[in-house]
Amino acid sequence: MKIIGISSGLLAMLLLVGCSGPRTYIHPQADISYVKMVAVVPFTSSARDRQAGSKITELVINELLMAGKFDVVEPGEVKKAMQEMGLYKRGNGVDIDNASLKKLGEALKAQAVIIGDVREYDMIRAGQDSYPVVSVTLRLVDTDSGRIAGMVSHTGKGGPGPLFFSFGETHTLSQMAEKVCSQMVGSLIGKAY
Amino acid sequence: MRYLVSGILVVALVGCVASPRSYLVDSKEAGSAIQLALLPFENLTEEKDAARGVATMFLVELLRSGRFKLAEPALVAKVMQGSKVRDVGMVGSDTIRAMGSELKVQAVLLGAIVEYSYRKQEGKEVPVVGISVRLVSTRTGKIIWVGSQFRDGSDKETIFGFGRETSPARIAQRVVNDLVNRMSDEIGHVGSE
Repeated sequence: MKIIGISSGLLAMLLLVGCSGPRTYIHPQADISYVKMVAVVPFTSSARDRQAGSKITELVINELLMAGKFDVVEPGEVKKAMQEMGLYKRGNGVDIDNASLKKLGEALKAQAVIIGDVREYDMIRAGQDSYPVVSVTLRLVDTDSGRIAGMVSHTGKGGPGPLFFSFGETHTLSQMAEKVCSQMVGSLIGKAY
Repeated sequence: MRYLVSGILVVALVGCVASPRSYLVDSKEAGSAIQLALLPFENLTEEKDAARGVATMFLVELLRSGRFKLAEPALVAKVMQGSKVRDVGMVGSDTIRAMGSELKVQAVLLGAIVEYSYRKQEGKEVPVVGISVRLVSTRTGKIIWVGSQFRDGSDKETIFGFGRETSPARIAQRVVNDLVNRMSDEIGHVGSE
C-alpha cells in the first residue's frame, strides 16, 4: 500500500513538473462582460511557416466561439474591412494603432478585438522522431479606448512527456496548435469572467 | 491489475482517435440550414491542390449525408466571380448574402486546410491532415456552427504497426467524414426538433 502511495506521489510530481499552463493577465479595471462581439484581426507571425498566423487565427476563432461567451465577426468580413481601411497585408497580420482600431470596431460593431502574434510554429527533431512546438501571444483590446483588457501567452511542446505508453503525447503541429489555442482562450475567459 | 492490463490491451488494439471539436453557435439559424453553398476552401498549407481535393470530398459527403442539399458548384463560382472575390479568405457578408438570394441557400460552408503534410515517426513519414470549417448564415452573415478535426496516419495504428495509414488523401477523407458526420448530427438534431 505504501509503495502504491509513493508511486502515485512520484507520478503526480512528474506530471506537475511536465506541465506549464498559459500566462494570463487581466486588466484590474477591465469589465469584459460588456463585450458581445469580438473581431479577430489576422495574427502576425515570426515563425518559419509563413501561414502560421492565418492558421492560429482560424483556431482561435473556433475556440472563442466554443467558449460561448461572445459572438465573433466572420473573418472574411474583418479582412474586407481592414483592406478597405488600408490595413490588411495578405500572409501576415498587422499592428494597428488606436485610431484605426476604433474605426475598425465601429465598422464591425465589435466592442473588442483579439490581436495575436505567433512566435514559434515548428517541428523539432528528437532522434528519429519530430515533435511540434507552438508559441503564441494574444491581446484582447477594447476598441473604444485602445486599452489592453487582457493578455495571454503560451508555449506548447509535444514529444515524450513523463507519462508511460506515450499517453497524452501530441505529435502534430495542428493538434498542438489547437491545444495551445484552447488553453489560452480558456484561461483568458476563465480569468475574465 | 487484470482490469489495467485489459484496458491497456484494448487501447493498443483499437488505437486512439480524437473526435472533432465543434460548437453550435446559433441553433435557430442552424435548424433552417438545409440548402448550402460550398465555397472554395482556403489553403494554408504547402500542398498546392489540397483545398480543391478536400472541397470535393466535402461535396460528396454532404450529399451522401442526406441532410443537406448543395448548390451547383458552377453557380457558386459564378456568384463569386460576380462579387469580384479573388481571395477565398476575404469573402464578406455581402457575398454571403448574395449567395443566399441568388442560389436560394440558407447557409454557406467555408473552411481552411490547416495542415496537409507528413511528420517523422521512428524514421518513417506519417501523413497529417487538419481542417477547420464554419457554417455561416446567408440571412444574418453570422457564424452558426464551427468544427475542426486533426488526424494523422498513426491514430488508428495498433500493435506491430497494423492500421498505420500512409496516404494523406485517405487521412483527409477520414477528417472530412468525421466533420460531416458531426455537422449532420448536431444540425440535424436541431432541425428535427
